[in-house]
Amino acid sequence: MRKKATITLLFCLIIFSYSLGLAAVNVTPSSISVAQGQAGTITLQYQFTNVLDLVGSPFTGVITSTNGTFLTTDAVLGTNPVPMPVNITGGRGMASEVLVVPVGVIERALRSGTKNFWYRRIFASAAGETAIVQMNITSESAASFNIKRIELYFDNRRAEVTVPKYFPKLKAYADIRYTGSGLLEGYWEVDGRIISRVHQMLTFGAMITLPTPDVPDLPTFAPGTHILRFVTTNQAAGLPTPALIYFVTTEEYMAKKMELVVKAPQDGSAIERSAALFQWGSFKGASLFLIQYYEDVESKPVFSAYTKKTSYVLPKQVFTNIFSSGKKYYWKVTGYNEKDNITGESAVKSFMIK
Amino acid sequence: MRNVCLIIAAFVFFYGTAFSQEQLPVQSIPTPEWVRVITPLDNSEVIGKKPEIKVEFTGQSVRNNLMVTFDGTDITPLLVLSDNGFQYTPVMSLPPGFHTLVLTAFDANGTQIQKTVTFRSRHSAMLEEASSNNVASVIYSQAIVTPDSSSSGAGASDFDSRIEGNLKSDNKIKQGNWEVTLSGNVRYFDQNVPVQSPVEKGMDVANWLMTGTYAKDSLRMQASIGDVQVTETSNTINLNRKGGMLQFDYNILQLKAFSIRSQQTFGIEGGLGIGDLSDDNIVGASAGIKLFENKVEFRTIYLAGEGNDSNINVVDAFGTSNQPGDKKSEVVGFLLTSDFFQNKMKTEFEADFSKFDADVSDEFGYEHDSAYLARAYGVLGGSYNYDAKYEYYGRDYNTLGNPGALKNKEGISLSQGLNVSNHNVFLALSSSNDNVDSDPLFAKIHQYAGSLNYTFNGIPNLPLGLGYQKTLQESRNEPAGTQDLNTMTDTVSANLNYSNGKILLGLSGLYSVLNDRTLNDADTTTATVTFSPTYNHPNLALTPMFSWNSSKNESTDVRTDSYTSGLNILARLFGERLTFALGGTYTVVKADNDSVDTRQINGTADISYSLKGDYVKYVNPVITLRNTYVKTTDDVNPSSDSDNYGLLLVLTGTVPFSF
Repeated sequence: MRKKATITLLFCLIIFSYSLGLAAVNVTPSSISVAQGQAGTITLQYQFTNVLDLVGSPFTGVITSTNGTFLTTDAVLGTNPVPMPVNITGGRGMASEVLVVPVGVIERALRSGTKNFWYRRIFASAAGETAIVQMNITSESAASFNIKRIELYFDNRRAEVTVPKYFPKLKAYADIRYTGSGLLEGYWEVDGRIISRVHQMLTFGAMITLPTPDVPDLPTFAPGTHILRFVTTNQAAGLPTPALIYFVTTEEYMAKKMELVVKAPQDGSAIERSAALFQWGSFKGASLFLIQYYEDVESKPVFSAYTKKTSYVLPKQVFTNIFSSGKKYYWKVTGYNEKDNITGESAVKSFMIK
Repeated sequence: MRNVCLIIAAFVFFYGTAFSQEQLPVQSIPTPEWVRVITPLDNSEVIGKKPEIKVEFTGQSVRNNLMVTFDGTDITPLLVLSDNGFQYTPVMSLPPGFHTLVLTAFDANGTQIQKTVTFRSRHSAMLEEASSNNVASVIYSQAIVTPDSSSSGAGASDFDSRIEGNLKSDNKIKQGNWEVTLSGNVRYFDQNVPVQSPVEKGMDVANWLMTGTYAKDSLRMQASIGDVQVTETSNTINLNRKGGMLQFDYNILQLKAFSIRSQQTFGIEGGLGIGDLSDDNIVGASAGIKLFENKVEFRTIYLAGEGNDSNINVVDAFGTSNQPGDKKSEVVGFLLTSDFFQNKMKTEFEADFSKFDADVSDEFGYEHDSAYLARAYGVLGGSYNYDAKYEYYGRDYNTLGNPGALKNKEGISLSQGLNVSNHNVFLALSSSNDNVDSDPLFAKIHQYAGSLNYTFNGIPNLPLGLGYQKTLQESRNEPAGTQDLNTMTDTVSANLNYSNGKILLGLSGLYSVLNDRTLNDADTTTATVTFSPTYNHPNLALTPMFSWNSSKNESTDVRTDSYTSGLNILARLFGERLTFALGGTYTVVKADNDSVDTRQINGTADISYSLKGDYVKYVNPVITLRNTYVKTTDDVNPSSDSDNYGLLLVLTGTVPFSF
């Protein structure tokens, strides 16, 4: 009971001394919320003023805190063993710390029946400067807005992908797990170049998946290794920025399919057996054509033919047992390049045999 | 690394020795009078991917009224015809199996005559099917002008010389009911200055997957090793990681077992992902059975493992960054799905039970909890769809198989879509709360959300979309000393697209307000407008982009505006020999209290010339001049200003080889 009263009195004195402007160290933020059931990471900024030496003159040199302590009013919850040296010049100095609040510390506080505790650092100086940060345990939804986890991946669900040169529509995704509610601000960058900015209002401590934008595409014109990052600018304190790797090969992406324009017969027209001519336009990159005929476009073709010309005449043999008069048929033509890759395709048209 | 290379080498050697062009002895059969098929003979077996067909006319020439079909496709226009016969080499590789050649003609009397030959093909003497498709890429970059400093990473240009190589390989062999595939990319990277993680110097196997399959009738067994995808449910496991997986399917039964790493890794770091990786490993199994003509499926999933994907001390974490702590978990899940009404109403019921230790280094062990899902969804009449859901996630529910899964939430949601003529309406409503255990130490936060989206497609080439979303959050049962929570978020959005052949114009806008209705009054607003016209032609693609965003924090009364303009160009000239490619961005970020005022222009422009010709047609060498320019101006912190130009000479080569 006496110990608890002593610690409470100490905190009161520290807060009182802050109010008088006598405190030599100020921490930002002075109060944070951490979510129950998971570790928390926060960046603390320490600002030192009026640090004096033993004779009361402004101190110049290094002061060190050997460790940090998590504590409640009546118990020590844990220790951060990382020492923190600070350069002080003329009684002033600044330092920052990426603090990890272990999940065990949070659990110990809850099991002791409180959801409030403090993080304290004492610096070895003449006055023994003490920095205090108040911590409040909350649920994920009520916690301060903060990024807890980021996972980046491509369509293959991996953090690496290999694509050919000029590959279009390469997409990446960021699964962002967050606490609290707030405005997420960040940007996608490739090799240090900002591709697009993200401004998204998030609520209720959940998860969101952010894709890279449709416009512009991720650049794939330069062969080689590229690094893609999602950088958050207002949150994710303490978390490293994750990165993806995509490799662009020197092999070019197969050109997008061009449309082969049908010239004859007219869509839906009836044709003579003796003049069953099918014609279409072409383009550079189509050297072989496959013409396919269907009774039902959802089914397999009833007949097909290869040709290197831009026309095809149904031979009379097919009228014996494949095509029937008065029946409706559908057809389309597909173009291939010299490497047997599909480069063009026509729309599906219909015709009838007289 | 060595193991993987050995596997690839063994595969290629095995394939190489197996593959050869030859024809097996065949049985001779009587030939008809008008034609004689020299190769392939009827009922023979042929080895090769494109076996040559040779036919001789033995009677009168029928070249003027001959039709030849091969597997049902007319190949007559491609025949090399002579008065004595014809030859034909298939234009595409033949799949192994039976093939039919049918010759049809009319004799002098006008009577249709026909000759049919059936043969079987295989790709090699040892294997029915064997193929290996490979592409080697080599990239050498030499700095002509080196920038003073540059952004970090492999894409940066602050080096004097760099060489990169990649071998992309896809291989397949098949014999009878067995099939083995191996695909992957072997990568090489080196430069004269240190490289920043996650890229590393040297040779590495960037990704690979080897799969062996045995399939016969209703039985299918598959073993995979490499970068495997394990997908069960979002509450249990959904990961693509290094490891191995076994799958067994027989009629209505499915069994699966897997062992994978919990962390994302690049290359062969950590080996195969199976075996003794006690601190970074997830093992598990699932079993499923389909009943009532596959209308009902029951699955059970189990997984256990330990891992840490925090990467907290890494400068550039590969793929994931998470809170620190070695985590350990076990999960058992049960899933029952049904579809009795042909997509009109599908149902899902899932119950999952987890043991999770968020940090194995502390004195606390496993926390036990559960998650439940009940869902009904479907499509009615082709124009109306719905999805109703109840979800419960216990306070301590967690799984290593999906570290981003929700917890400590309970709620219901209903979404409905209606598509009538040119009008498409989508309505989503939800209600949820946290603190599912009603812990008196914490308040209970309730959230109510609704969104309405409308799309109009009545004007050809001009679809219009409008959206509105409202979210309410409020705390209840706050314990003493707890700050209350009461926010309302409104978001309106609109988008308009116009397409006309090669031109596509996109305009979108979004305005969102977070209204903090507590005494804090920490309101936030954000507005974004994006305009993105594109022009696409095979020889010229232009993609400019402009985006403006304004965000205001009402509590600090600070407004920040950011402007992002981009321009991408791809132009091909002189028969695609000369290529110009540009990717550039100009960004401005400015706060009205002058705390931020930065501008940056950043672009890369490539001018490439292809040296491909008759003498070097198998290599496709390309010479590129790559210009990079980065200029940063920071009026708040002028020491960050930079102005760097770099010029690189880049030589690339492509060597495709298949066999």
